Amino acid sequence: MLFTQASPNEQQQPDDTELAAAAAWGDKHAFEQLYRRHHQRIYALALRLAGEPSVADEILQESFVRLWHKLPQFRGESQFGSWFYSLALNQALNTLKQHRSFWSRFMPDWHLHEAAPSEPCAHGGNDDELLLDRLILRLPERARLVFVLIAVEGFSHDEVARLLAISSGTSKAHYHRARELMKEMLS
Amino acid sequence: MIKSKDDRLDSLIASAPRELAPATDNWQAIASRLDRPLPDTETLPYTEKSPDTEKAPRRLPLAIAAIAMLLVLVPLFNREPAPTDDGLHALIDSIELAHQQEVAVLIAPSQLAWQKVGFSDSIDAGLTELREAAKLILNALKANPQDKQLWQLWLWVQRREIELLTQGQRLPQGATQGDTL
Repeated sequence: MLFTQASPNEQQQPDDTELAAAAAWGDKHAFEQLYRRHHQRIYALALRLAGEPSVADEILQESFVRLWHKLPQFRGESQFGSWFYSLALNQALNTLKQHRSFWSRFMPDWHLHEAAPSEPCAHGGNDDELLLDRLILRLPERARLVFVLIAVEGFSHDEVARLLAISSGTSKAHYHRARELMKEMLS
Repeated sequence: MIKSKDDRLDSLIASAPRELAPATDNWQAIASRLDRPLPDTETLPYTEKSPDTEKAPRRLPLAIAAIAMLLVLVPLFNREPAPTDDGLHALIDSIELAHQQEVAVLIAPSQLAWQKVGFSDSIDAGLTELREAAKLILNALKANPQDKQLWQLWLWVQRREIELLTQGQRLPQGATQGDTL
């Protein structure tokens, strides 16, 4: 099943499962369509978790490259978006872990945060939409991870605890701290 | 007042966009990598860790190959010196000092027993090359303290030195080539 020669008159777009099946057979055009559909969702997750656009770009690229290789394992038993989201989240946490272990021996947290840009992205949203992301970028890393996963991505504290290999209580403490910091920033 | 801040924050969260567009299109970078094999490390789940004892034999040749590559590449970075930056130079010096202190602790006389083990020769060779590479990179970094790639190379080499020293310490203490089990 290839989508490289789709008729211009064809009204119905292939769904994600069909595109994934085609991409799994090596159809890069189908894969690019998957990229166009999902990259902004994954970038939002990556940017908020990473707090830095260059790292978010890295996570985005690694996630899609990994997706390309993992596509033959997708059987269509779950929603493609959920399946890929899970893969990308693991990739994001792995990438952040690698960055953390690399820099943390040498750079205190403040130095990394100083490197974060004041403008997080170029999505052109209104002020309130940008404001939340500006605040998120100013949070300490652990508090940011927990806050994003719980408040923005909708995970429970138990799920976050498993993902980050911390206790549920620690997750709650980070979340509380993140909220307090953000409320201070709103003052 | 506190309540209103909570409400304001909740309102911001509720209106946060699910999608954000990156500043640059990443598709070309992704497409160019699709035909390459996926490195093993990318397939590891987030929490999976390989025991260091299993990694050591595989990582040493890789480290040495990487160092050889660095020795070839580093002279390329020794070009146009950037404007000096006293703050970065001070940071470089303090990191180098901290690293040397950490190395000194790891190779303290009381912890040298591992060096008697026969297969520590390969670790010694790796360390020697690593330190030579580190010197070259450090010189290049001091000339271009704002070069992020040089920073990463330098810190990577320092980390490898610590890892090799740590691996060496895990070898049987006091063993020699003539020891039998």
